[in-house]
Formats: sequence, structure tokens, C-alpha cells
Amino acid sequence: MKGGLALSRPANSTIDDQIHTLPLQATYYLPAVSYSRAVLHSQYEPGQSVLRGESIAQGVIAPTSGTLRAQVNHAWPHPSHLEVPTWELEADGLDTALPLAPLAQNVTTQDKLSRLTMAGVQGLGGAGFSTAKKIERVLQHTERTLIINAVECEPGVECDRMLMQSHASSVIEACHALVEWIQPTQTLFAIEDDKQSAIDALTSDKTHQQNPVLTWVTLPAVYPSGAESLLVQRLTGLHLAPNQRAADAGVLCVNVGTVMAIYNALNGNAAIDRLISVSTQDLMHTTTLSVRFGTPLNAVLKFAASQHTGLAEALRLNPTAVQVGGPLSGFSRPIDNAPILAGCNALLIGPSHQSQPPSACIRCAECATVCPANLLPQELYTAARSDDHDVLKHYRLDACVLCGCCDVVCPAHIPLTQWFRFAKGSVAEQAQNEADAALARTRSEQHAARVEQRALEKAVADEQRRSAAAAAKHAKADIQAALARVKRKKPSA
Amino acid sequence: MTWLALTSLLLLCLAIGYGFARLGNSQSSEETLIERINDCLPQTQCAQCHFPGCRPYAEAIADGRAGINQCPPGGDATIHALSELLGVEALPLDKQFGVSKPPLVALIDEAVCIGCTLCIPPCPVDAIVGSGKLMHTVIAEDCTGCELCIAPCPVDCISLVPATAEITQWRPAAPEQRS
Amino acid sequence: MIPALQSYRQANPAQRRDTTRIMTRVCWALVPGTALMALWFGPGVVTNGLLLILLCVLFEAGALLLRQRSIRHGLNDGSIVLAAWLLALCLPPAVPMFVLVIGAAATTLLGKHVYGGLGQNPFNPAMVGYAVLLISFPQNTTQWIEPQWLGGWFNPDTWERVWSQITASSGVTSAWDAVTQATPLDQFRTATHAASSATTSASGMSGMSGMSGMSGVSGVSGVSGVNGSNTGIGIGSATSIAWISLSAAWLAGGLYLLFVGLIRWHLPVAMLAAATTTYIVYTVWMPDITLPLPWVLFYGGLIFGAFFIATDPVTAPSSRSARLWYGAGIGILCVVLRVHSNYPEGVAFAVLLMNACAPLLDRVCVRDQPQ
Repeated sequence: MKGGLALSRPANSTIDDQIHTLPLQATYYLPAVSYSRAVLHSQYEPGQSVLRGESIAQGVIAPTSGTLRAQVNHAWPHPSHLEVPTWELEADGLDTALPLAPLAQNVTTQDKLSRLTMAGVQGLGGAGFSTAKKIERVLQHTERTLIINAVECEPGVECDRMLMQSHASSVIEACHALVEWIQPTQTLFAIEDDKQSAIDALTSDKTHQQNPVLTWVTLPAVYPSGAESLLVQRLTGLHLAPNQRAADAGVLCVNVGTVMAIYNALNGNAAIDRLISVSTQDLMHTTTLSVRFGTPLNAVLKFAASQHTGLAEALRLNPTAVQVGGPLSGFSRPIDNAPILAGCNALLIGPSHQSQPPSACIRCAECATVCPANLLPQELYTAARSDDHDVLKHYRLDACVLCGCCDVVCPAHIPLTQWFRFAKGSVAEQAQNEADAALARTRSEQHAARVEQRALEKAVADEQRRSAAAAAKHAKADIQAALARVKRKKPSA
Repeated sequence: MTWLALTSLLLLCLAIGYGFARLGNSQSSEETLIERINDCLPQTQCAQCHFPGCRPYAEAIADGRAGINQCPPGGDATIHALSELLGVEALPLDKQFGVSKPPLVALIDEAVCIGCTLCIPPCPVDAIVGSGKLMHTVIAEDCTGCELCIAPCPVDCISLVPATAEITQWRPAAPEQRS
Repeated sequence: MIPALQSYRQANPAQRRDTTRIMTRVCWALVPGTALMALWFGPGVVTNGLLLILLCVLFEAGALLLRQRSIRHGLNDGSIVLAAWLLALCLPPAVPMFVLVIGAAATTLLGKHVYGGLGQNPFNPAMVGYAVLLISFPQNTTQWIEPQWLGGWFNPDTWERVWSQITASSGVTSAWDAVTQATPLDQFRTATHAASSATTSASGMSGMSGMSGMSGVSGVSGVSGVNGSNTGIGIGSATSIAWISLSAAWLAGGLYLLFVGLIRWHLPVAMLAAATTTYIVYTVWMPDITLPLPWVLFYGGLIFGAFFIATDPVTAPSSRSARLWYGAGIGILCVVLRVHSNYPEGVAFAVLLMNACAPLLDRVCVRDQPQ
């Protein structure tokens, strides 16, 4: 990978080497909106009781047993800061699980995929894409590559390392199970060289030593090596076309946490929780929590503070704002009861840094030097400002992974990534409008054709009727004439 | 020397001219022009331009019978695209044809609908389903928000609602620009 | 600033930058050369610089005021100081005040603000200002004085002459009659033209014959092929030592910029290499204008241009391959202009011509990746 930033934690920072599990909450909040912002529908009625692991809607799983309340508009951890329709789940404290049997070895692929969907397994790397759909696409290829992504390159995000370190044998077992299912020609386990403790734990595992199907790929700790399109390109040499996903090329790239979720789902445990790193904004103190989806943000922070004095102090000083996500990829939001969802891998206590006011771009091209996707951000920036979609396409906006490296090095302090987010939204909106127009056009043409066809048919039918009537008239006239002739003949006769 | 200079200048002009010729689109038949104008239009088929649909309006623009600023649903984007395509000045939207609105879709109040089928034929995109004496409904994905079904309804049970949820419409804002 | 980034910036000092700091560093890199120039050519160099900086800042503030931008924010980035300084270094010592005013106006308004200020200008502002002065006031912008170590800094007469020169109301003054001297390149050029006026290709393409005898950015190409002693600029003379030491100072400043990562090697190397190659081609084609190669590089503004003018990020292309082409273009044009045009030096015009091509180069040289 060209570019990127070698970011590191402060030298004297401390990491709590234990995973703390959040106690059961009284209320969980389950947004009725998918990560791609589609509104979800459910056949569940308010007041209905659900069990832990029950699928309420597509990708929405009850994190514990309890009673569903009516949908209300509720805070949502998203850069839009909008409120979305959300189910409230009132826990009954029993935490009864939906009985899901482990799948037998010989079940069909379709069964396994529907199990993943039912168990709500989705990518834990951040995008929240449905894992079943991803695997389905990959299975359509005969030549498959499996990449297990343990490259959590952003400083302050430690959840994958903690998972591998403390559950090494389960991780290896889960990887083997996935390999057995996918049957890839090659399995790459991508990890960064600054996670030596995790590498040691995994490689010393007995199962792995007996059956080493995993090929280790150790990458230097450079942000953003873990971005899927960059990682796939780097490990396989595969160049993805715009809007093409790795899965469409037969490459299954899954986060190591997702591999565990797949394994758990196949064994009858729905995906209801994840690991989250909670740090101070200065990354001096970090702890890792196991949090169920739908847990309110303030409860998570309160619990983290109770486990770690450094975090408690930081929370005392910054009681209002938290950054959801890593130092570069995250966004700031007020501390409220917005729920934790699958894409949230880190929380940073304290407000995100205030950027200096931007000045004019002097085209120093430092952004191009650090761009991991090998783009020219300075050109994209001018194109984004003028909202010129042709130029944005020419400079391959679609390849931008929004990593934020260019923001860091820009001497003019221009919020480049925000411009690119805006431009991507603008391009997507235009594409949507064009698709809508194309659909409406087809339908209106069909409508017009049908109206014309009907008019034609009516004309033909009218003509037929008219000619039939005329014929009948003729026949009548003939009869009249014949009668008249007869009449005329009669008296003469 | 002079001849050399003149010849090289001539060659340069030819080369540049050739380049521009290649750049310029050679398609110029009237049929494709109408198509390309039609491509710029939002295809709502709302007839607010006083033509019976987007394609008739495109034909009228191609014939010079209509201006490029008569399409309220398309708004500034359509006017801009047409001015680029036709090389004419981008005028502001002519208010006599209507004003730009956010995307809307029709919604039938199913409790009020009497199943008269009067709204079905005017729909240019066949987005209303229903049958005589039976309740009608609008297929929201197909509806263009043209409002043509509103007038025929004898019980006024059709209203226009925002096309999508606020959250679906949201997109990242551009950073604030210093004045 | 979040600590992860802070530690990154500490580990990568070149990254600790903002626009003001970049401009300041470039100014620092100009200091040795400027000091040397002042020592050789006298206090007129310093007055030029200070007056131009003052004038340009005034024009900049005025332009920002008219454009309703924040004056503090606009001046804070230091870009106008740098542009004024660069322009001052192109001019002979103690240029009349009215010339400086016009130069500052051209640099600030014509070179920068008509396009929308910093970052928007397609042409290097300092070179726009210089080109305007070169065409409008050929004599004032090309009459250099004979370099003299410590050039009369301690002589009250010199200061008086500097004063009268600056306050002169007409373009042609006689104050310096005794000591005016063209740059080495200029002299070389005059000599060459005289010697080879029969050579058609050297007789120039334009009708600006009245201007022959002017110099450009500061004299460049070399001397000894033509009778160095005749022109008074042979190797070893004060003139040649002055110009060569100046180029060495610019080179040192340029290497500093390279070292701190403010410029990349592609552009200057491509420019110098292309200039050298072109020059070698000319020596084969027209042996009578030959100068030894080192002087091609060291006399005149080639090195100054390669490190300080052409590398202006705003007007140069930004991708690496485009910078190579751009640098090469300037290098070739520079030598071609020296040989064929009626100006002895071509750096300024070469840079302006390639400035015009920069956006095209950027567009064409999008980095190689399958679409």
C-alpha cells in the first residue's frame, strides 16, 4: 500500500487487558432503520414478548428477552444526528434465549445462509453489510479466496486484538469452520505487526498447529491498511471496478469478529453483542467491553468509568460529548441513550478536536502522497466544491475510502474527507434520481403504448361493429327490397 | 524559414481542429436530439410544462416551440443540463408553470376511497392499482408525484406526502465555506 | 489535535506544517542567497525587497478588503511576502519606485486576485509581475550593476545613489552610468548575436530587436565558448564569481527545501536535466554558441527557477509524473528561449508558458490504475 499514516498510541498509554461484560440493562433500543438507511418493517406488535436472539426485523435481533414497546423516534448513532423510528425492548431480566439448535454438519448452504440472516450476523468492521449476502455472492464463484481481516489499523481500536488474545482457540476454531464451509483455494489471515500478543496466542493454539490452513500475512501498522478494498487489492492484486465489491470477485473479506459471529450463529447463538474499545480522547487509557446491541451509550460509558479510573476521570471532565468510532473515522455526538450498533467499534471520551479554520488549497499535493487509494485529493476537492460529477468520476471518487489521512496532513486544514462524503452523497443522489427517471420513463412509455394499443383495438372493434351494423342494414334493406319485390309481384300476379 | 513556420502553424491548427472535432459530438440527427433532451427531463410526466408528458416537451424544445425553463420538478438541475446540452442561456424557472418541490408521492386514504377507478387512467406510469368498488392504492416506488390523479378523485382522498423518510433523504452536508 | 496524530507529526517533522509555516520556511531558504546578493550588489537589493514586500502587502490588503475577505487571515499565510520577495530577487538593485509599484500591483492583482486569490491563480504571481515589468520597463529591469564585494555598503555615495534611483520619476536614469553592466548571460547573448548574426536560427523570431541587450531572471548560460575576456565576464572575474556563488546559494536553499520535504526532487531534477540535454543538442547543432555546460546551469536563473519558481505548488501540476513533464518542459523552453528569443534569459517566460499547461498535465497524468 502506498501512502497511509503510521499512527501509534502515546508511548506511556495503558491498555486494560481484560474484557468486561456489561450487565443486563433495563431497556434496549433497536432502530427500525438499516445501516444503509432503509426503513425496516416488522410483523411484531407492540406489547409482544420476545426471546433473546429472536429476529424482530431484517438484521434486528432481540438482545435479551422482554417486551417490545411501540416504535418511537429515538436518537441514533449516525453522523446525520437524526432521530429514527426505534423499538424499545423492555427487558424482563430472565434473559431467556430462543432455542436455536446448532446446525448439523450436513445441512445445505441455503440453510446455513438463512441461519446467518436469522441470527442477524453482519459485518463488525464498520459497514454493517449482511454477512449472508456477502457469502452468497462469494459462493457463486468456483475460485474463492478467504481473507480474515484482523487489521484494525486505527489507534484506539483494540477490540479485535483483545478478541484474538483472550479467545485464541475459539477464533482458530471459528476460522477453521469458515474455511471448511467456504472451501477457499487460499485463506489469508491479515494482521498488523503491532499485535504481537494476538499473533503469539493464535499461532501457539494446538488446533492451528495440527492443521495450519491459515496463511499469516503480517502487515506494518499503517492506517488504513484494514480498509476492505485496499486490503483485498494489496493481498490479492485484484483491482476492483467502481461499485464492485470484493465478494463479486470471489474474495470473502471478513473481520475476525464477524468470523466469530458466523461460528456462533451456526452453533445456535444469535449475534447480539460485540466488543467495543472505550478510550479517552488522548488514548492514554483504553478498556474493552462486551456490549449487547441496543445498549444505550450513556450506560456503556458509565460502566466503562466504573471499571477504569482513567476513563472515570475523563468522563467527569467531558460529561457531554463522546466520539463514536476511532480517532480518524469517528464522529462526535452528545452522550445520550442512543444505542450501540454493530458498526461501532470504539468510543472516545471527550469532544473530538476542533479543527483550525481552513484556508485556501495551495495544491502542495501532500494529500496525494498519503492517499492510500492513490488518488489526487486536491483535484477531487476542487471537483467536489463545484459538484462536477464528471470530474469526480475522472479522479475516481468511488475509490476513496474516506480514511481521513488527507485531512491530517493538509497544511491548509481543509476538511477534505467531509467534502468527499458530501460529493459521494451528491453522486449517489444523482444516480438515484436517474434510476427513478429511467423507471418512470419506461413505465410511461409502456402506459402510452398500452393506451395507444387500446385505442387501436377500440378503433378496430368500432370498425367491425360499424361494418357489422352496415352489413345488417344492408341485409335488412335486401329483405325489404325482396319483400317489396314480392309485394310488387303479388298484385300483378 | 517562413514557409517552415507557416506550414508548422497550419499543421498545428489542423491538429487542434481535429481534436476539437473528435471532442464534439457528431450525433446531430433530430431523433437523437429529442432523446438527449428527454434524458435531461425528470420523467415525472406531470404535464406542468403544458405538454402532455416529458417526451412531447422534449420534442417541443427541439422544435423551438418551448423554452427550457418550463419544468418545475426538474428545477435548476434540469435547466442547467438543458442549457449545457443546447448551448443556450440558463434562465430561471418560469413561475407560471409552477415551483420546484421536494419529491412527493401520492397517497390514497384507503378509508375514504370509494373504488371509482377514475384516478387510474390519468396515471402516466400505471402506479395506481385497484378495481371498481374496491379500494385503490398507490405503488410508492413507481409514483412520480405528478399530481394528475388528484383532480379526478371525486372524494378527495388522494394527498401528496414526502417521497421517502427524512433519514433516507439525508446526505452529508458540504463543509461550511468561509466567505 | 488528537494524540495519535500528534505522535505521528512528531515522528514525521515534515508533516508538521500549515500554509504559514510552509511559506516561512521557503523564505528562510531564500535568506542565504538574498544576503549574498546584497553583499555583491549593494543596498539596492535590500531596498528593492523591503519596498516590494511593503507594497505587495498593501495591495494584498486592499484586494482582500475589496473582496470582503478577512485581511488578517489573508495576510497571515505569508504567500504574498514570498511572492514579493521572489519578484525582488529577479530585479536589478534599486529599481525606481514607480516600477516597483507597478510590479507589486501586477504581482498581487493581476497575478493573484483576479483569479480569486491564493490557490486559484494559474500563473506564478511573481513571474506575472516580472513579465509585466520586463516588457514594460526593459531598461530598468535589465540594467544590473557590476558586482562588487560588499558593494559600497559603507559608502555614503552609494546610499545617495540608491535614494535618487528609487525616487527617479523616469525610467531611464543616468545615476549608474559608470557602473551599469548586463548580466553574464546578457553579455554573452549580445556577443553571440554579434558574432553569429549570420546564423539564421539565432536571429530571433520576434520583432523586438530594439530590446536586445536585456537580461532575464538573472543571467544564465555560460560564457567561455564566446570570448569571455571580451565581455568582461570570464571565469574568475568578479562578475562570474558573483553569479556562480549566487547560484550556489540558491542551490543550498533548494536542497534545504528538499531536505525538509517542502519540495520533491522530481520537478527541479527534470528541469535541470532537460535544460542540460537541450543545451547539449544546441551545441551539436550550432557550435558557435557553445558555452561550457556548468555555466549553462550556474549563470542566470536556472537554479533559482528550478528550486524556487517552478516548484510553486499552486501553479505546478501535482502528480509526480506530471511534475516530471512540467519540469522538463520548463527546462527545454528555458534554453530555447535563451537561444532564440530576444531576451537573454527565458526562465520567467518558460515558467509562465508551462503554468498554462499544468492543469492539462494534471488531467492527463491521472495515476495509473485500471478504471
